[in-house]
Amino acid sequence: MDQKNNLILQLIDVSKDFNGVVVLRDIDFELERGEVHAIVGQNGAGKSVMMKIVNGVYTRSSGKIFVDGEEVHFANPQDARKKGIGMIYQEFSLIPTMNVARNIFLNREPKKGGLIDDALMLKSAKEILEDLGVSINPKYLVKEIPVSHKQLVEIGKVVSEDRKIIIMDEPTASLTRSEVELLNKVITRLKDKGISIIYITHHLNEIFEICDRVTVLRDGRRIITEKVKDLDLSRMIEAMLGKKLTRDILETKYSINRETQPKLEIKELDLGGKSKVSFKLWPGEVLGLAGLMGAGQERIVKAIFGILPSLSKDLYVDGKRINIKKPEDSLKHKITMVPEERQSQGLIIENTVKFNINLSIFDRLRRGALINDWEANNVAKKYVRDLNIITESIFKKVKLLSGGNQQKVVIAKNLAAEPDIMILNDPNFGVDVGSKQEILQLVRNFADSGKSAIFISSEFEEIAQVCDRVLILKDGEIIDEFLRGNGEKITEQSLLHAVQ
Amino acid sequence: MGKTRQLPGPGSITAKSILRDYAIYFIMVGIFIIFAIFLRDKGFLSGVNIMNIFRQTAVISILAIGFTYLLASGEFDLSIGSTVALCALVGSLILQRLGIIAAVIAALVLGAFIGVLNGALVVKAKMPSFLATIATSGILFGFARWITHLQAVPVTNERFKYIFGGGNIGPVSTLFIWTIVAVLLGHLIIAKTSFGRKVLAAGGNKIAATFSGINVTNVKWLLFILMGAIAALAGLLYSGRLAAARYTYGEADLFTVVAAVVIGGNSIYGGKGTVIGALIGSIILGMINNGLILFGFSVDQQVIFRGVIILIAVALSPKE
Repeated sequence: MDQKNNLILQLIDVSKDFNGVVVLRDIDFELERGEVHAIVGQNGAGKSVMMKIVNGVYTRSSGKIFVDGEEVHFANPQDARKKGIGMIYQEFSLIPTMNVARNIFLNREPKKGGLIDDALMLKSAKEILEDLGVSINPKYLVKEIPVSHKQLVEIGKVVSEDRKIIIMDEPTASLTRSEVELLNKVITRLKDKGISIIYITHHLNEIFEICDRVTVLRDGRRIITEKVKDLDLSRMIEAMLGKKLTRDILETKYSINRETQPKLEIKELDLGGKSKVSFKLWPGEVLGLAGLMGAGQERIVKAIFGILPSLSKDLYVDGKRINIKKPEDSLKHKITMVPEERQSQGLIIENTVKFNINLSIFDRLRRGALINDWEANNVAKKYVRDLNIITESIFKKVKLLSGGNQQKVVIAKNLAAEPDIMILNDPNFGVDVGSKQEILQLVRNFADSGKSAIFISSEFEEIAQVCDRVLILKDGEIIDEFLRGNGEKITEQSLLHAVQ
Repeated sequence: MGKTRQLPGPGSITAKSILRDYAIYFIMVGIFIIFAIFLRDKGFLSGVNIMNIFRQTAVISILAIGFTYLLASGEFDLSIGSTVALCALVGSLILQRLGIIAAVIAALVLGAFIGVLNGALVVKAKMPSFLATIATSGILFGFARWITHLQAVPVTNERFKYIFGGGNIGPVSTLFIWTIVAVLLGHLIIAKTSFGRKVLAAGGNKIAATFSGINVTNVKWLLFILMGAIAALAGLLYSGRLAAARYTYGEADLFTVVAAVVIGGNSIYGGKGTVIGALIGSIILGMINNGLILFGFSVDQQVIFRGVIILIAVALSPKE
C-alpha cells in the first residue's frame, strides 16, 4: 500500500473562526488506517473544536478535509456518520432503561415480518461484543452495567455501524486501572481490524501505552506531530505549554508557621488508594489539591464539607476532633465551600444578589424574631462593593449577572459566613479572564488575613499562581507535595508533570 | 467588564414589571367593580353578602397559607382535604367527651402527626410529595369515612362554636379574626423571618441551600407538620361554624386552595411565596363563586368555571 492510500483522514490548512475570533489556525493532520493518534493540549487549545469539525458538528472556515482520499464537506454529524466517522462521548449516548442489544441496534433493529427480531438482535449483539474481546450479557439493561461496560457497549455500537474512524473523548476519565487495561485491549482489536482512532486525553501517560502518534495543539495551532516512541513526557508538556508568559505569582503576605497548631487536620481518609489520605492545613495558607480528573481531589473536599459523609476519616479543627455529617455541620465549624457548579450548586439564580449573599447567615441577621432587613442590605452592599460585583442593585436577580459576577456572589456568600476555612472547587471555571484574576486575588487576600483555603482548579496555572503548598493526587492517594518559599517556586509545568 | 451597562431586564423595575407584580390586585378590584355594577340589584354589595364572601373564603385563605409555604419550598400536600375532615371528626368526637381544650389539642396533634408522616415519606423515604400525599389522602379519607360510619358528629358546645367561627366579637365574626391573624402571621414569617428565607432558599435551589448550611430536610418536614396543623385548624373552624363535623369537609377545598395560591402569584416551581397573594387569590375565587351564585348558575356550572379559572391563572403565571 502506498503512503497516500494508507491515509483514512487528512486535514489540510483547516481553520475555524467564530465571528472573526480564530480558534483553529492552519491545522494539518493525518490519520492512517489502523492508527491510534492522540491529540493533546491544554483547555482551549482547540482539541474540541477540531474534533467537532471532523465530526460534522461545526463547519470549517477554510482548508480541506479528505476522508479516504475524497474531499468532504460535512453539514452535520449525520454526514460524518455516513462517511464512517463516529464519536464516543464522555457522557454516553445510551438509553439506560433499554438492554444492551437494543441500544446497539437502536433505530436500525433487525426485523422479521415487520416486527423486531429480538432473538437475532441478541445474537448479533453478543457477536459484536465478543468480537471486541469482551463478554457482556446483551440482555442486561444498560443502567445495570458498570460504567466501563457502558463505554464498551458504545464502542460496540459504533463499530457495528461500520465506522472507520472512531473519536474517543477522554475515554478513561471514569475508569479504574484494570478497566483501562480492558479498554486498551479493545483498542488493539480495533486497530487490527483496520479501524483508526483519534484519542483525546489529559492522561498523558496513557498515550505511551496505546497510541502510535501524538499531535500537540496549543492556542489553536498544531505544534508538533510525532511518533510516540520518539517523544517523552517532558517534551510533550513543553509543547503543550510553550513559552507563554507566566502570570504573576500571588505572593503571600502572611508568615505561615507550620510548626504551630494546624487549623484543620484530616487523617486516614480512605479514597481507595494504596495509602489513606492525611494532611494538615495551617492559618494563612492556600493549599492546592492537584490531580487529573478523578484522582481524588473532589472527593477530599466533599468529605470535609459533609457531602460525602460516608468516606471514613478523622477531622480535627484547632486540634479538636469534629464530626461533619452534612454541610450544615461544616458551616457551624466555620468551613464554607465554593462548589464546582456555580449555577446549580452555588446560587439560587432566580433570586436576588442580596438574598444569595445572605444565604448562609439568615439566622445571624435576626433581631428578635424578625430579620433585620437594614443589616441584610448592608451586608449585601458591603460585599458587592468589596468584591467589585458589577450589578445595578443588590435587588437584581443573579441569573442576569455575568458568569464572573455570579461567581463573585458565591464567594461573597462564603465570606459573609465569616469562615475560617474556605474550600474552592474550580472557582474560575467558565469565568472571564478579568474576573479570574480578581477571584484569585480574593482567595489570596482571604488567606493573608490569617484564614485558610483549600483550592482545586482544572487550570494548573492558577494553582501555581495562588497556592502556598500543593498536594499531588493520583488514584486516590497523595503522591507528592510541593512547597513554595525559600526561593522554591511551584510552576504549571512541574504540576502537570507530577500529576501524570 | 465594568463598562457594559445591562439593559433593564426582569430584575429591574419597569412599568411592565409593576403591572405584572400588582396585576392580581387590579384583577380583584376589576372583578369587584364589574360585579358591583351588574349584580347591584341582586345585593352583591350588601353587608350580609360581603360577610358571606368572607365566611366562605376564610377557611380557604387559612389553608392557602400552609399550601403557599409548601409550594414555596418546592413541595405539595394533596392530603389537606382528608386531613381537614379527619381532624374535624376526631376533634368533635373528643369535644363531646372531654371538652374544648382536649378537642383542640387532639385535632392539632393529629393534624401535626399527619404532617410528620407526610414529611417523613417525602424527606426521609424520598418519595415525590404529590404521589406520597395522594396516597396518604386516600388512607385518611378512608379513616374519616370509617370513624363514624359516614355519620355527622354534632357540635353542641356553645363556647367551641363561638370561638371557632360561629360567633361574633362586636360586629366581627371570629372566623374573620382567625383569618386575619393567620394571614398576618403567615405573611410575617415568610417575608420577615430567617425561617421564611430558608423556605424560599430550599424551594429556589435545594442543593445551593444545603451547601449554604441550610437544613433543607428539616425545613420541609416542618412545613408538612405546619400544613397538617393548619388543616386541623381548618377542620375545627368548619365544625364550629357549621355546628357539626362531616367526612365531606375539605373534599373540594384542595382544588380551590391550589387555585387561590396559583392565582395569587405563587410559582408551582418553588422559590417564591406570597401569603398576601394567596389571600387575594382566595378572595377573587370567593367573589367569583358568589357572583356566579347571584347570577343564578348552578353548583355544577360553578365547578366548571373554577376549573377554567385555574387554567387561565396557570397559563398567565410565569414559566420556568
